[in-house]
Amino acid sequence: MTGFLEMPACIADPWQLAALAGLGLSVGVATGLFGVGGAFLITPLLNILFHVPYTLATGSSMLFTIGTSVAAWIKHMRLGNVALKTMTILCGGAVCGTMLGARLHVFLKARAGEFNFTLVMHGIFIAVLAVTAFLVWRNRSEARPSAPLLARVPGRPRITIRATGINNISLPGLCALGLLIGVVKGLLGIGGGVLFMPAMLLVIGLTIHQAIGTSLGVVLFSSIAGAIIYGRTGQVSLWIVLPLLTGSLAGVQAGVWLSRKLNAGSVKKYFSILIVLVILAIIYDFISKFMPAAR
Amino acid sequence: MIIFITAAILIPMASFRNIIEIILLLALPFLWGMVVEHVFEKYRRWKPHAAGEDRHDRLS
Repeated sequence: MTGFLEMPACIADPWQLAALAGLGLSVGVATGLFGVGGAFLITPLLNILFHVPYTLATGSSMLFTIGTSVAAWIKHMRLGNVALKTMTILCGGAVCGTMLGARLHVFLKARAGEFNFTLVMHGIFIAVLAVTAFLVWRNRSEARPSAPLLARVPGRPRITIRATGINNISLPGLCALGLLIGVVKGLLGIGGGVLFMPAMLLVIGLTIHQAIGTSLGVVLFSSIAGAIIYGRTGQVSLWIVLPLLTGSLAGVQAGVWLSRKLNAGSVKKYFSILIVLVILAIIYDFISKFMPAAR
Repeated sequence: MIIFITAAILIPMASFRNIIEIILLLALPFLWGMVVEHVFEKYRRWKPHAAGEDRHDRLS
């Protein structure tokens, strides 16, 4: 356990603080461009590049996500890219799901031990990211699905999402979607944008720009819940979060500017490529951790 | 399915107070959804044209 204001031993070198700021800059671009909080990049990269323990990386990345997503969300809100009702409904599920997922995280860590736990977390991470990349890549054409999945899911009451012009959406289905992604988010310590963004595109049927703006809002509010939960157990470090946030401030502005320049197909294509790169980094770390233990 | 698996893992290891908390956390999103839908629809009926069509669409 590390205090909130204590510098963790793994980042005591000033050069490492500068490297953290550089990491924040590149993640900030991804935040503005793809509507992801960036924690799905930060959590494994802190663990792989800076050897930050997984739980400390998880808690710190939750706090980092609040900082990056608030700037990008306000920017998208001004551009009219946020579907407020959808965001508010999903927030309820995501916050409760995050609290459940964080409990599951603590429970699994206590049972499995640090090494096995890290391997299991990386395995789940790769599976979730691979499915996401595949779905986004397959649906990268600009045309929206005529009837999104939630319009075909049973369950009353049915609601209308005016931003998409789609009627007959299942309200329990929408709430369950938020809860489900919240559980995965709390368990893996990711912001959730990497899951919310494709879910909004493919399951709810929002346009790419609405999906980016709305997912940032859900990520922001559910990350506040996550940061409080991890912060209460001392698993958040300001020394990790501050350099990351400093770098990401510039990156977010560049990312939002880029998102307006690129068309929907390109954004989806680059999003899939980014996810594949993260999967490769995790697999490399997975092998480097597993091989010495196997010998 | 993940929700049921989460409940199945968390509920047996939890104390009675925690079980109530977990059940509440599973049920709250659905109640929240109903409340939000009700409030947004009330607002739409109360001020259907005040915010203009674009703003009105954005509220969904």
